[in-house]
Amino acid sequence: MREDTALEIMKRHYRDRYKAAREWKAKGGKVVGCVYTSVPEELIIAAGCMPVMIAGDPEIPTDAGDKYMEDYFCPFVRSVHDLMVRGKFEWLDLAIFPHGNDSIKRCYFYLWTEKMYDPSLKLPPLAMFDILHTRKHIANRYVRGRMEALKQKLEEFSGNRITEESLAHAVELMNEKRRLLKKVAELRRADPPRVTGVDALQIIGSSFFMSKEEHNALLRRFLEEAKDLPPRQGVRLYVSGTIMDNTQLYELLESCGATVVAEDVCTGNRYAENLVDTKLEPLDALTDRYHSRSLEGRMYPLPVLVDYVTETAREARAEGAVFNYLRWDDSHGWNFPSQRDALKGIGIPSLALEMQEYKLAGTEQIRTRTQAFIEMINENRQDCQSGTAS
Amino acid sequence: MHFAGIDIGSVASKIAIIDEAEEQVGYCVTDTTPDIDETAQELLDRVLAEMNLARFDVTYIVGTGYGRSTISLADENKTEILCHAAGVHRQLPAVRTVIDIGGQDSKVIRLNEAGKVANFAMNNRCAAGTGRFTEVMAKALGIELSRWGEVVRSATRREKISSICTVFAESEIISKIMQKVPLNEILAGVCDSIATRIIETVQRVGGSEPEIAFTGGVANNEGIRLVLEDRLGTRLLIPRIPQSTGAYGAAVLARKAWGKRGGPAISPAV
Repeated sequence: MREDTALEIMKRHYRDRYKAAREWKAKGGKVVGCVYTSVPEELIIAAGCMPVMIAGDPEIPTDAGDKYMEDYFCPFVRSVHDLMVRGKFEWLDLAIFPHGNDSIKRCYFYLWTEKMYDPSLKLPPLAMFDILHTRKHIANRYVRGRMEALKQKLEEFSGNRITEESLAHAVELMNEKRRLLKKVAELRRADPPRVTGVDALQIIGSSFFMSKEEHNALLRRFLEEAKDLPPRQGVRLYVSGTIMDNTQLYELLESCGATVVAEDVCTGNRYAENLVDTKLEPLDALTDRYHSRSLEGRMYPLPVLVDYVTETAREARAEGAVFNYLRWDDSHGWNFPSQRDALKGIGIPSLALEMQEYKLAGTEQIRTRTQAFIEMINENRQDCQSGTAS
Repeated sequence: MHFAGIDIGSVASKIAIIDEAEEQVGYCVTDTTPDIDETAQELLDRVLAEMNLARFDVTYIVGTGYGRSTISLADENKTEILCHAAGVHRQLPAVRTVIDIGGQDSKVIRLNEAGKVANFAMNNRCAAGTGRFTEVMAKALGIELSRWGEVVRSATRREKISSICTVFAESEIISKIMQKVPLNEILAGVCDSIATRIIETVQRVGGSEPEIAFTGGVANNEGIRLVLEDRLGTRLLIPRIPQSTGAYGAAVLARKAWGKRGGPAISPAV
């Protein structure tokens, strides 16, 4: 296998997660970590800093963090908190916690308190970005205020003023990334698909761990090289649910004879949804993208999220949908019945992997459920082909 | 010409041999050991010896159950969901809902008229309400599994068992014994709690549609069957050897797979 293809380089960045950020820092740059995808990276870039995702690690048990934390935290956040307590993110110049869900918000307050009472902990400077879950105008105005406060915070911290030009440049950079990622999504939706879900997660996810310009250039190269990609076989699956900052679930699904062709996951296709509207005043435009048009599982009202799942699953010609959500990441569990019913209405059956642990546990059981689901789809497909569908 | 299905379950491993008319002509069961290949080979040797057959008499083998992917002597493997559906549909064609309780998992499968899987649900990771659970409870209460039917029948009420976890339920039962709650009422309560878990799973597939079949090793337990029938308000159909359904279904799929690969189409006598 050639190691210098754009795909292989992006995979390397995905694997050696913080290498590029540490190099940037060694050259005197500032690195800002974000938990979850609801922090506007545009503002961080406009302030001359490098945004990275603060990811968890399913292979590291959370015993260091468990000393401080109760049971009712989503296990992804629990892992992030544990790594923070272990001093793994001490090198960050700032860590931003958005109100992406209740666990993330509380994790910020826990760390803030731990920092105060246990000065021996090696924690980075912390910041909170509050973002509401209703789409009302008043909520939009409140988030606009928080956006302004985040801008000021980043300006003070970096010593760089965020100008109209620097923000416009950052917005264009991210919009360009979204346009390029939408082309990658098209390759996945193709019949047969040209990109596996495992590769797609790494193509999209490498953006969180490297320079955005460089990532855009790699995406352009990847799209040029795409004509050499082999066709992918298998049942076309759609995935919806919790953040996925690793490929373990997709590896399991695709090893059972499926290809994940699209998803409703913040670290998947949803990262590229909704361009920032350049006709609006810049902070209004960011508020509009990250709040009012947000498609995160926590957002209200529900029908918007149901429509998003049915439209994107239909567009991808999915034959089945897998809903995957972590324990205590409750909003997905609340959304699931309505999304499942809507998909059933357009002939797409669903499989729910509920209350999962962060490290895929009971793998054989999940494998059995997935294989049975795929067998079921295959059998019905044969019936349709031979015209004996009941 | 014969076909075999091997079901490597978490507790017991089963083999079923069928003839060209899909009649079960051989069956063996043994405890599952960590060496799955050895277990499968031992089952095959035993059943062949009992039937006075040679290895080449078995044309095609399908493996199923938790150990399915590691049975090297199988020609292919299928999930236990598909095999149970095939096994039940062949034996009891009117069935639209299958309740299967095995050693460490339970599942509910909805079938369409053609006997194809329309929907299914499985218990989550823990083994609460499965065969393992009944063994622990039998030990705690000192009532052998074979006597559960008569003991449950003798109870006039069912004691409420609120713990779902096997370990917590065991200590809850021990405290109830200490509180002098009659043993038959506790046992009826244990069966009721298993039925509750199953009914939850039934609801996850959108409810049950008659006829309902009850398969897996636990279907031999008359106490659980009685309470489950009472809670569902209907009689449950039980295959002749409920524990063999998965292996039998695998054998049926083996015959079909062989047919698809160029073997002659056989119309089985119904």
